[in-house]
This record gives sequence, structure tokens and C-alpha cells, in this order.
Amino acid sequence: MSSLKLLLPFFRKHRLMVLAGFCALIIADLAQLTIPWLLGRAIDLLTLEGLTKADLLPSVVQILLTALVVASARYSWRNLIIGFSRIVERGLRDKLYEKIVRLSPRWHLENSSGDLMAMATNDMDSIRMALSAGLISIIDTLVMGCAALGFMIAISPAMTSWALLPMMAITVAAHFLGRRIYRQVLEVQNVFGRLTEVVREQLSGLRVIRAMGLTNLALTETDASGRVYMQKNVEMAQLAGTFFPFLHFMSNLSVALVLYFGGRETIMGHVSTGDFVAFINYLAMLTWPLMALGMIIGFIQQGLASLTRINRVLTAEKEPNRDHGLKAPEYKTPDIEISRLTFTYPGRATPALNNVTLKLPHDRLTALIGPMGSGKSTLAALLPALYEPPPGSLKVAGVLAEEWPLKDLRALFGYVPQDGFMFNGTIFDNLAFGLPEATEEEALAAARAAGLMDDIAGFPDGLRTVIGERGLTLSGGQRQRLALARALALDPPYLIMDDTLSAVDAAVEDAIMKRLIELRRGRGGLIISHRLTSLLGVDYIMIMERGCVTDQGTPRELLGRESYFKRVYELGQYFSENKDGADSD
Amino acid sequence: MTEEAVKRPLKGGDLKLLKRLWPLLKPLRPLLAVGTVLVLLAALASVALPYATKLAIDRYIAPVGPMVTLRPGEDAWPEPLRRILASGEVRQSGLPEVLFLKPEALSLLDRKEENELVEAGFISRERYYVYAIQDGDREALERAESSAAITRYPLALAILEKDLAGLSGDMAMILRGADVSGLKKLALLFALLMFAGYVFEFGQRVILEIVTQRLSHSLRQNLLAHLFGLSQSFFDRSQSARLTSRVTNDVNNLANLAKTTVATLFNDVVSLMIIMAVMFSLSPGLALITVSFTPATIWLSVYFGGKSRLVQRDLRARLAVINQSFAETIGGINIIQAFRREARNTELFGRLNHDNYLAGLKQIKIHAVFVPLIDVFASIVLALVIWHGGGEILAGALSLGVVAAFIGYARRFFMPIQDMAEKLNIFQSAFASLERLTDLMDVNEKIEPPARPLAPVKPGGEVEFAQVNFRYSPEGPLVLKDLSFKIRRGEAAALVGQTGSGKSSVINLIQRSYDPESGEIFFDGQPLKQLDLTAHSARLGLVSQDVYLYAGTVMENLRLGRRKLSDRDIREACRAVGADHFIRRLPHGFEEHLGPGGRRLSAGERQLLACARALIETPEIIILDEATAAVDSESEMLIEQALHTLFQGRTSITIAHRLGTIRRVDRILVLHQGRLIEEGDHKELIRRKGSYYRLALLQGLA
Repeated sequence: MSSLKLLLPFFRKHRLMVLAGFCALIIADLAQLTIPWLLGRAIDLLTLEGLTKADLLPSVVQILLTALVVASARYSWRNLIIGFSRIVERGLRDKLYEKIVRLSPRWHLENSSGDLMAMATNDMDSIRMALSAGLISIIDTLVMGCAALGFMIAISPAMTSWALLPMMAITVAAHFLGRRIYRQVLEVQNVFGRLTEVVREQLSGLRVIRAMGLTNLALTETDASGRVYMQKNVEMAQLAGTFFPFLHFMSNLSVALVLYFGGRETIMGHVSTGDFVAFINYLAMLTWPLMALGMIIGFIQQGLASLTRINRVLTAEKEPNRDHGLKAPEYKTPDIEISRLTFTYPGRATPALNNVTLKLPHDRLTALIGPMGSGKSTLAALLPALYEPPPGSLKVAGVLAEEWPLKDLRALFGYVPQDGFMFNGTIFDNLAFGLPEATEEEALAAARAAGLMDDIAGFPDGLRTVIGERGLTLSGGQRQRLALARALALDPPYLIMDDTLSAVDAAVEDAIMKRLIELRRGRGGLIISHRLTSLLGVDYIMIMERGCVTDQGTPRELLGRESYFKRVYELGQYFSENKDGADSD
Repeated sequence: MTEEAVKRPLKGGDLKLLKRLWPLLKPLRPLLAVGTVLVLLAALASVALPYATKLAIDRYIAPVGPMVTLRPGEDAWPEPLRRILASGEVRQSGLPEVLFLKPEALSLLDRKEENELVEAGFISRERYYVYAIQDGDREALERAESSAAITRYPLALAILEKDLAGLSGDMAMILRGADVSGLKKLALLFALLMFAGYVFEFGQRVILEIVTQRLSHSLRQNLLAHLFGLSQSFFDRSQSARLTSRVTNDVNNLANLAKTTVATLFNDVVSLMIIMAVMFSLSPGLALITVSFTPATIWLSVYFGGKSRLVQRDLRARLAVINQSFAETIGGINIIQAFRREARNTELFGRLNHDNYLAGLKQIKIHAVFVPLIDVFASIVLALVIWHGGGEILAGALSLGVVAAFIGYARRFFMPIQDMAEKLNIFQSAFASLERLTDLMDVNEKIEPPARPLAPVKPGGEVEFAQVNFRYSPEGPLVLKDLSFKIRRGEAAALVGQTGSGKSSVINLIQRSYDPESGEIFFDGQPLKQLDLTAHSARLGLVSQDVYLYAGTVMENLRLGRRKLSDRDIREACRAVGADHFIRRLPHGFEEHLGPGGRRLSAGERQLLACARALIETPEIIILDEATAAVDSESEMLIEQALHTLFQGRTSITIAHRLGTIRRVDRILVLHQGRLIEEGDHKELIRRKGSYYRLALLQGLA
């Protein structure tokens, strides 16, 4: 299985640790095997004539010494082998995170976050268990099983072959049922991922759920998901309940065969009674490794299933390596040129952007307006390549986007999203998100530009106030202004604001926009907004409808002739004046 | 998790914690009982093996015993001899003075008595196999008479044990045929019993899994229902990823406890008791030596258990942090990439992950010391049994058989204890989860439901705030200060004010997401605190900035489980708010499957769905919470007009930043820092030239 390749580097790097662990494990097993033998010798000693108590001393000391060897060997392998499994867990989780953080937003759109979270915890657990408990059982099985088998063959090869007959069935069962168990485990993990996602979604959207009186519906939803999870687990128990006790049954069946055929051999005088008893005891010793075999299959299959799931993510999209061999182009001015760009979201029939051609000069503040769903946000997300623009459609500073290293391309932009997503941490952490080395002065300057100073002064710990998960202790408006400040702190060559101030009071928005337009005058920026009054100061306006740019011009130009801008601007004015007129006498 | 919580000492109250599970377990008790019985049956079947071996040897393979020669003078027979004869475990030879002992008879003698009887010539040192002659096989036996190894008696043939192997094939067939067929029956019986054991084991696994799953399901549902009833202020402080981990991972952990307890703990305790009983009946002295290590073992278990539990808890907490970090990263992936934080975030995450690794190492250390240490105890006990028992044998006080048996039992004695120790892991983890779940269940930041809830007045719609003071947390600032106002039934009101003026808090209180610190809120003259919450929510129609969409079709998201709504009603509502345009553009229209959280829709599209929902609801009080903020002006006009018809005859409360959208309401309440500073309709307020006027001026509306 190709996903096993994921483990190879760990084994290679820590081979001494693993090897030493296996040695300790084998020593522990062998020492353990000698204890019954030492006891037998002590008992033989007791049948001798003329014995004194002092003659027992060597046996007693030997037993105690062996026990110490077993204990220290066990201490060692536990530290080494289980320690190794923890190393692998840490390493794989680091890898998973590193990959996830680089996978494109498009990929994330199509994959559930609950599932990824389950991979970071549950699947890592089962891989760790497969590596610790699974590997340990393999060695145990080999050592104990071989020892027992050796003793058995020495007593009677014929009896051994009768005893091994049912054991064949175990291998066959492992082959057929094992596959089904593997698939079922995968299914259970998937269903658990879905359940986690449903619960997470509900708990994070609880305010709205409750406000709409939907708690009962929410409970019905988890009930349904929970029942599926329950069903899958019971199916799993049925499979496991068929398989694992079957191993036990088969080993008992071989005892039954030995009782009859071995007993007959003994009656006929071909095998001594003592050997017959010994044979059955060894057979019992073989049972444990066989049971362990079941455990190994369980653990390893669970681990493999998890490894496969993780491998699917780790091998998704080659894109993160696309920067390889690319060099940041030299440029003077980050002019943006879009030509014949068509973009369709996965799962959508109609393109979000349809054959768009436009220019965004580096020294011009451009406003992008248009009705909902016309593709404005899509265009904003395409510029810093959050979605990959189709090859040949986007040029920045005269160089095609796909020839830019992603890092350098994105460094040109300060992006302010619609939702003002914040990270757990302090206000300062979030302000300095793009510039971890920023000083407090720099952060405060950005906060000032975004009209955030009064808010910061009002927080108990100022800049060091912790804002909680997703910044949910802030109001929507505060979050949006913080998001703006976060981008301004970068002092980016090109600023992108995607309907950034929608949750901010009109008066505050106007003030911020005025200041911002002055601050950015002569530099590039793309401003998406629905509040047209705040856009009068921009250099240029583009109108987007149904994925196409349908009109453009300076604000003055557009107001001077029939245009979407003029229509909607006046609609707002007219709507209010008309009402006003009707109300006044 | 705070440091304080991690270091909370181990309490004797674990059982008390467990008790809280009892009501949930109640309906499952019959199943659990059946499962328990099956566990026991399966365990019994599994101890049949040593017994079957013993039967095979004593009955069929080597049913040999010494010959007894009875000298006349019954009065002089020693007591042990009488005891054997009285037991009836003998075979007759046909001669009055010769008898043979069955193997069972020998177990009635100890080694000393046996030796004395041999010395006195009552029983032979040699063992004989005895064949009782049947009438049918006299003829066949005639031919075999010649064998020197066989001694013939009137009723039986006797063969020395050592000569058994040397019998000719024919003779062996005649003499041992019955033994072989007996052995066949025994083997068959054993196989059948084992098959029954297989069935028990299967049943036990499936039934216990059903119990576990039902328990965790009801636990999960109860927990969610409990969480849903908590005040919003609790969620302001809690992280949803952590809560999610409680509801999924911790619940699973805990439910596993039921399975483990029955399947292993129960099993172990029962076998421990059986072993102790046998040991004390064999030799109280040796039994005491063996058992004397129990307190130390238990102490060790408790000591390491406590440590292990702390580490376990620490590990869980760290895992929850990892979980949360993943959730945050995935949610903010756009920002992380736009700000080129990939490497830095990976590094920060690496630290969290490394902390988790270190906590894992601590756990390994503890188990690496503890588990082998218990094994060392078992070996010390073995050595002591040999030392002390050997001395007793030499003194003639104990037989070799008893000591040999003891060695077996001493090893078996530690097996259940060791098994329980190994299961400690599961218990630790389950108890750590139990504690966290109990803490969560104990959170009582409830919106207290009224003892006798009032049904809302119908038709209603009047809202009154009377001197309401409110803060989000006890340490936080007052958000609403002595706020009083009244909105009449059917009135269209709007709340206006700057960020932080308290508009959203008013809405929160109306929904009873929080309770005010002082003052009272009335609906149609009824105090809100005494109203039935579900009925109260049902009469509020909310259109807010956040829209909760779940993974289902558009239609399902609009219907929200209300089966009485027809598809036509729903389509009609969508048309009324202008949502049908974009829905029809989706590949599957109303049957389009929305991804988790409806992520495939734009903010405006989600908003339109929310408006349609509110329309379908036909509530008495409509609340628009910055509802049209993310919608473009043109769509906003459409929605405004649709809502305007909806407002007719209903109470409405609107929050909006854009004053243009609220100008036609009947009354505008202007809030500033939690106080009501102005009140009136648009014209009045403009005329007053106060705060509202200044706001309107800024937006070119005055």
C-alpha cells in the first residue's frame, strides 16, 4: 500500500531506536519463557532425597533475577517502541498541518473541516496504536509462537499437523473478513467525522439556531447522524464479533482434535502421557499469539485505514510545490491586467466570471460595484491567487500570475475579506498577523487608519486584549475594522477591500473611507462596496453584472450619464426623498 | 482547561460521578444484564479446557491405579485404607482379596499416607490398567491369553502401566476400544461447548456494543439539549471546537467505560474471587503469602492511577487545543494564505504538537514503570512460594502437588490484577472524560425556564423594557443602562446608534439569549421570564447577519422540519423576497444540496434565504438585525419592499446602519452607550437637530 511510504522516513531516521526496542521486547519475551522452566526445575529438585532448605536458594535467586531482567527489558521497550509511535504521531500531524495550511481555498471548499479535524486526532490515534500495540503484538506472536511450535514439533509432528489444521482456517478468515473489517473501520471513521461536523456546526451557529427556535430541529439532526454512527458501530461489532471469537474457537477446535487424535496416539503407546499434557500446554501457549494475531489485524487495519485517509490529503493538489524553480520577477509598478478571464466554481453550472477583461493600474483606486452574485468577490479573491486564475488570464507587473512564485505574488496584496475572520489571540496578534515582527507603533498606526483607536482604548487590556475564538467577543463592525487594520499594517502595494465595512455604522464608514482614500491616494486599490455614497472619492468605478464588466468610468462621468451607478445612487436618494416628501405636508 | 482544574486531586467521588450516568443506563439495564450473563457464560466455557484435559487423561488415556491387597483382620486396616474403600472409587477383580484403585481414589490420599500404605504392603507401588471383562468378548480374549503382561482375574484383566504401550494391535483394539470411543465423545462434546462459547462471545460483543452505542447516543443528545439550554454568555466564553470535542470524543470515551467494565473488570473480579477461594482451601499459609501483596498492588494501582489520570487529562486538553487549532486554520485559510502565514502558522502549530508529544512521553514513562512492576510482584510471590512451600514439603507438612498447584494459582492470581492494571488506561481516560462532562453538565448558566410557563397572549406583539440594566459578564461593563421603552403592537420601530450603543444587546434580551441584571422585560404585559421559551421563540421572526444553514437541500433548509408546509408555500415565500432568481440558477434548483454550513452560497444569497425563512414563519414580531448589510442596494430595495408588506399588522424592530432603510418606520429609538437618548419618527428627530440629525447629515439624508 502506497500510504505505507509515509512511515518509511520515520523508520529510517529512528532505526536504532526501533531496533533497540525490538531487542528489548525479544529479551523480555525470552526471559519470560524461562520462568516456567525455572519453576519446573525447582519442583524436580523437591522430589530429590536428602534436600535442605538452603539448596532451594539458587532457584529462588534465579527466579528473582529473571524477573528483574523481564522488568527492565519491558521498561525499555515501552519507552522505545511506544515512544517511537509518539514520534510518528507528532511527525505525521505536523505534516498534515503543513499540507492543510497550503491547500488551496478551493480544495477546502470541497472538503469538510470536521473530517480534517478527525484526521488530526482520531486517525493519528489509530496510527499510533497500530505502531505501538500492533508492532509489539507482531514480535510477541513471532517469539512466543515459534517457541511453542518448536516444542510441539519435537513431541509429535503428526499431532502438530492435526493441531495446525484449524489454524489454517484462521488465515483464510483473516483474508476474507479482514477486508470487510478494514472497509467497515473506514466507514465508522467517516461517519464519526460527519457527526463531529454536524455538532461543530450547531455549536458554532447556536445563537442563530436558538433565535429561530430551531433547537429541536438541531437535535433531530444530531439524532439522525448519531443513529447512523450507532448503526455503523454495531455492524462493526458484528463483524469483529464474528471474526475475533472465531480465532479463539478455531484454536479450541485444534485442542479438541489433539484430545482425540493425540489421545489415541497416547493410548496406542506412541506418545507418553507426560508429553501429551505438555503438548496441550504448548498449544495453549500458541493460542495467545493467535489471539494477538487478531488484535494485530484489528490495529493494523485501523491504522492503515487512517493512513490512507491522511495520505489522500497529503497527496491532494500538487499546487503547493508550484513555486519550485520560479523566481520573483523584477518589477517597478504592480499594474494588474486581466484578459478574457472566465472562472467557474466547482459544482456550479454558470461561470462566476465570464470573459472579463480589465486593467487595474498601480496608482489608481478602483471601486467595483454591482448586484449580488455578479462576481465581485470572486475577482477580489483571484488577484492574490486564493483561487487559481486560469493560465494566461492574469498579468501582474507584466508577468503572468502562474510565473510568479505564490509567496511573492501574494506579498503585493493587502486583502480584506467580507467576514473579518479573526484568530484566537490578542488584538495585537491579529493586527500583526502579516508582520509578526511589527512594533506596537506600527500596529497602532494601522489601527488608527481603520478607525479602531477608540475601541482599543475601551478594551480592558488595550492592544493585549484577548479576543477569543474567531474574534467572537468583538462586534461585527469591530471585526471588520480590525480586518482592515490587519491589511493596512502590511502597507501593501495594492489594497483589496471586499465589502469590508458593511457592518460598520454609516457615519463611521464614511469617515473611515474618506481617510482611507486620502491615505491611499496615488497607490493602487480595489474597493468593493454597496454603499455608493462613500465611493464618490475614488478614481475610477467599474460595474460588474452577471460575471461581466458592463460599464466603467470616473464617478463624475458615470453620474453624468445613464449608468448603473447613477441609477442605484439616485434610487437611494429618490427613495428617501420620496418618502420624506410624502410624510411632510 | 485551567491549571487549577488539571491539578484537582483525585477524589473518592468517582462513584458519585458514575451515579449520574445511572438514569441514562436505566432503559439499557435488561440488555446490559443479558450481556453480563453472556460474558459469564463465555468465561465459564473458556475454563473448560484444563478440565477437559484432566478428564481425558484420568478417564480414557491413563485410567491407572495401584492394586490393593486386603489382608484379613479388618480391624487392623489403617484409617486411610478404610477411607478409600468407603469412597467406592475401586474396581473389582473377582477375587475377594484383590482390588484396584481408580485414579480418583489416589487424590484422597496425601503423599505421606500413600507411602505408609505402600510400606505396609496394602497397596502396590506399581500402577495397573484394569479391563472389566464383558460376556461378549471372552472368546476373543482366549486368543490373547498368551500375553505375559496380562494378569487374568475372574472379572477383569490387569496390565501393568509400563506394559500398556507394548500391547499387540488386536489386543489393544479389544482392550482400549471403549477408551478411544469415549475420547471421541469427549472431544466432540468439548468442540460443541467451544462452539457455544463462540456464540456467547459473539452475542456478548454485539449486545455490549449496542449498550455502549445507545448510551453514548443518549448521552450526546442529553448533553446537546443541555448545552442548547445554556445562556449565550456561556458560549461567549467557550470555544466551539472544545465543546465539540466534549460532545463527540469525551462521550465516546465514557460510553466505552460501560463496555470495558462489564467485559473485563467484571470478569476479572469474578475469577479473582474463585482463585482466592481455591487457594485458601489448599493452604492458608501460602494463600496469605500470595494475598499479602494485594495491598501493595492496589496501592501501586491507585498511586500510578492518580498520576496517569493527571497526564491523561493533560493529554486530552492538549488534543483539544490541536483540534481547535485545526478548526481555526481551516476556517481562516483564505486569510492565512493571503497574508502568507503558512510557514509561521506551521511553526506555531509545531509547538502545540510538540507539547502534546511531551505529554505523551510522560504517559509512557508512568506506564513503563507501573506495568512491569506488578509483574515483578508476581515473581517475588512465586519465589516465596517455592522457598516457604519447599520448606513445608521438606518438613512433611505439605505435599508436592499442593505446592505445584499453588504456583499455578499464584500466576493466575496476578493475571486479573494485571489485566485490570492494563485497562487502567481506558478507565483513566473515561474518568477524565466523565469529570469534564460532569463539569459541563454542572454549568448552570441557564436561562431559567419558568416553573409554570405562561402561554403568550394571542394575538400579541407589544414589547416593553422597564428600567433594564444589562452586562454580558459580571466583570464586564454595563451595556444597557436603565433602559425603558415600549413598542406597541403593530408598530414598526427601529434601533439606531453607533457601534457599542447597545442595539444588538436589546435584540439579545428580546430573544432571551441573556437575562438582564435588573429591570424587567414584558411582552403584552407578561413578564418575559415567565413565558414559555419555545412558544416565545416561535413568535419572533429573525433575519440576522449570520444565517444558519445546515447540510441539506435548499428546500430542507427552508422547511426546517415543518412538515405541514407545502412546497408551494415555500416557493411563494422565495418569490416574495426575490430569492427564487438565484435558487433557479443553481444546478438543481430547490433540490440543490448545500455543503456543510451552506458554504457554497454567497453572503447575499444566504441572506435572501433567511428572509424567505422569516416570511414562511409568519411571526408576530419581526426582528431585522442588520439584515441587509451584505446585500447590494438593488436587492436591498426588493427585500425592503417585500418586508414592508410583511410588516403590515405586525410589530417590527429593525437595526440598520443605513438610515435610509429605516426612515419609513413609525418610531426610531436612538441609543448611545446603552441609554435611550432620542425617540420619535424621522421627521421629528430631524427637526430636533440632535444625534440622529447628525447621523442623517453624514449620510446625506437630512
